[in-house]
Amino acid sequence: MLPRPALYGEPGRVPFLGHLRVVREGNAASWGAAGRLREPVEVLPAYHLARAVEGALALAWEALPADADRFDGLRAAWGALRELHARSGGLAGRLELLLLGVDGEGRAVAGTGLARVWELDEAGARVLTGADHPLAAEADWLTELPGVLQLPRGSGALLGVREAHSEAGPGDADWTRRCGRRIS
Amino acid sequence: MSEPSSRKARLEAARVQHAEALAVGSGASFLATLGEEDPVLLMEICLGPRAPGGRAAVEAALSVRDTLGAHMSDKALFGRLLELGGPEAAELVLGEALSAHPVAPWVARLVAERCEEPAAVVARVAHLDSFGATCAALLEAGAEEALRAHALATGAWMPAAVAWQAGREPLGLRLAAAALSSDESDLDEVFAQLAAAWGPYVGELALGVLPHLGRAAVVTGLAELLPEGSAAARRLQLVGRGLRR
Repeated sequence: MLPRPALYGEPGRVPFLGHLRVVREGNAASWGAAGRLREPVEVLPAYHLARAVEGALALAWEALPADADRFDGLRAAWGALRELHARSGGLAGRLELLLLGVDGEGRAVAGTGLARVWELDEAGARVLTGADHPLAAEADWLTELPGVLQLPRGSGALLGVREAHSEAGPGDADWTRRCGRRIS
Repeated sequence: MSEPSSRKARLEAARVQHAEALAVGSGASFLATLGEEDPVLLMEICLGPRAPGGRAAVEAALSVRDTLGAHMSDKALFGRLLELGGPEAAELVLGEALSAHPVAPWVARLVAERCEEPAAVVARVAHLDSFGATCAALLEAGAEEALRAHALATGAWMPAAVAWQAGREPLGLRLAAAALSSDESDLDEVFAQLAAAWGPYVGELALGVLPHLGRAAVVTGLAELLPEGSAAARRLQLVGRGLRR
């Protein structure tokens, strides 16, 4: 089952300025990330930095051994982000990110800059983390490995939300479109 | 200006003077003076049943629009000027109408129905903060061609963004392709703006506009903006090579 991390866009004509999304399927596990570079950002640098983050995460996950599990992918992701920050700067303190690893044992969730995480599946939407959860803290991922929320296996999408959307939640059926358009 | 004794004689004299002024390119000046002396007569001369038609007459009438507009609604005023000016003045009249009322549905409908050269008309308001709302009004009025023409002429991304927000994905992709195909388009910047409107699935955006692109340089340029080695980048490179042949 592929991870399905998601973030809402912002209100306005360019809701997805600085947004990124990447998913990679490994042998024993799969990993995904949904993120956003906080403003102030110019459109073109934000686009390139978002793609750079996607590329760094994808490369890190592709380089993992075949037996890498859900936690390995999260560790590799933070390592790749540190390297990218060291190379290009401007990443730490600007990143809102939801990381998700999935394997046969369950799911592992990590992140930074988020207020809450919701799970959405056929049964509806549930808040997984409240505002006091460590996942909601502004993790200093440059110096320490952020904590991991462990979840049982499941097929639901995980939606990271920022403060502005926290109370609203994914109440409408069109929530996937609010996370970005897809053709298929 | 002379003072004929009767209203009718005064009207006829003004008509003649106006025709003479238009003939020598001083219609606006004549109408400005007339408007100060007798605004009702000005209305009759510019918009009445025997008002002169054509671009020069309409251009002169637009120069005293404030005075004319004090006596009738802008909707009626611009509608009458469109009638008088015909196709040769449509761009001028609609440009003025859109500048005066950038988000009015009735102007958007006029642009959709009467405008043969919409790119220049839409460009009149593209610098305004309300341009997104203008695009929304044009979209609502069925002026897709005006939006496409504007995107193609200027590389504007806003029409596509507004179409997507209205839930019209296929139209938005066509408008996005027009913006990317524009000679005025900075491909990197426009695609980044489009992606910011579309969402983080940039490969899908590129594949969505691909059927509407006809220039190899645009297709291969887009491929370079996508994550290296991604399926979408490979597809665009392949199509770009095909277009070069």
